[in-house]
Amino acid sequence: MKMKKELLASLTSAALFGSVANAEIPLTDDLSAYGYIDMAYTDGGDYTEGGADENLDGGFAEFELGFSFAPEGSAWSAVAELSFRGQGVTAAGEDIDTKAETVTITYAASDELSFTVGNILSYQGFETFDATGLFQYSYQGYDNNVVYSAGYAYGASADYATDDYALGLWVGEVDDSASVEFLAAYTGIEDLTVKFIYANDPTYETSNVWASYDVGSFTFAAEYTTTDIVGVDDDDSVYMALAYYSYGDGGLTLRYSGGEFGGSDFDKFSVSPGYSFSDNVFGLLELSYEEVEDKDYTTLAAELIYSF
Amino acid sequence: MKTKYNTHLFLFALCGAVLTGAPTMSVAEAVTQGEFLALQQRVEQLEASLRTVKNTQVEAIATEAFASMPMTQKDKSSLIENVVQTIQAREESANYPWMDASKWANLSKGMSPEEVVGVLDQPTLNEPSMHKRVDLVYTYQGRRVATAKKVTGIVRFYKGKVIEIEVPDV
Repeated sequence: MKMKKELLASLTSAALFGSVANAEIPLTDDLSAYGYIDMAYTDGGDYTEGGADENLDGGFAEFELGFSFAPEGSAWSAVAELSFRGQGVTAAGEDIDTKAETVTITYAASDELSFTVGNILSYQGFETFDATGLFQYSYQGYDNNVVYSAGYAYGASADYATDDYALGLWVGEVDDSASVEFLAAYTGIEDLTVKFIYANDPTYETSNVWASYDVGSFTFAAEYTTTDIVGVDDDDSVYMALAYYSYGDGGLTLRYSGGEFGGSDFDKFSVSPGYSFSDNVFGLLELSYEEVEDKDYTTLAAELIYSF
Repeated sequence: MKTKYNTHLFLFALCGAVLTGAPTMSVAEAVTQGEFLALQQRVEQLEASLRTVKNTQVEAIATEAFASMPMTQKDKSSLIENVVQTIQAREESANYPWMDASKWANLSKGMSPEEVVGVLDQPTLNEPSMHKRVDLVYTYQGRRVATAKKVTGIVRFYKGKVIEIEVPDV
């Protein structure tokens, strides 16, 4: 039962919500802790009007600490995560932004069906919210923008997951109006994952579809995200294609993304070699070329993540 | 076996309670000689029961050790060593069932996490990997009872299947 519950929890956190679970340090039989430390530096374009290229920026990017409470034999479980993010930290004493990420209570009605309330991550996206699940440093939008319309939000969800498919429905509230998100995922063919997410909020409407496929040492992924923002004439519409090649503990990511986002047309191409120093430590470099409204930017990033 | 241990523990606890409780009571309130003698008799009965349980347990272990060794003169001299090894093996088997090389030989690539747990029992650590082609890492870690040597075995999964096995040096 516990194993299935863990798998279900893993599915709901990783497959459905698009984040990557972290390591598990048992504190008691029922309580475990996990988290990661992310250090990153970037050197690259300043996207502000008339700005010059930025100097080296970065340092402490994020420290995340999570607790999972899952008593043996109980249908109830809970997760609480705290995220401490650096604010472009280059000098000591700069502010740290502390936020709650996943804070949920889940009832597993069966091995397949679960109900969750709390602060839940959006179903949207091939690119994970946490850095631990990304194939590269930056998100697919220009200037490291996330192209998805939702992140964490309070609400309730019902999730049904089998080996072949998964369905999810999240309902929240914004300004006395309902905000909903729907997920349909297909995993019935080995090494293939296809997901469709539809979000309808008083302030936006988003469709997000993506697929990933493993062939030998390669992983291929493609994604399309379109968002109609209330009061904005032009829809956001972004395409992304990614190829990842794994060689031993190393890997190389090539990614293209482009379209219209935030009222600007852009194209972005990223090359990112990465290396797993151990199961807990991962480092990568990224070189991104971006063309935003006929202006070119080049960004170099280095990142080191330790998960525990 | 578990019942014997439970009986064992219960008897120890009861003896402890009686032995530690008796002087306290004598201070807190008067105990008649009759009550004292009754308690003493009860303690003696419990101690006798405990001896019986312990003797039965040792007999069982000794029998197992004898059965596993040819009774030459040389081997007889290592009787104690055999008994100790048997006890250590029992303890290891109870606490670290995965410290049995034959179990690791039953693992193979393609097995599911549930199948691995079925063979080795629950892992010491169950954690995802930062490696992009590893989803989950089962770490089995502990110290040999006899030598205190730290041993570690690792099973890695990708998409719900075993892709790598690091057999512990046991």
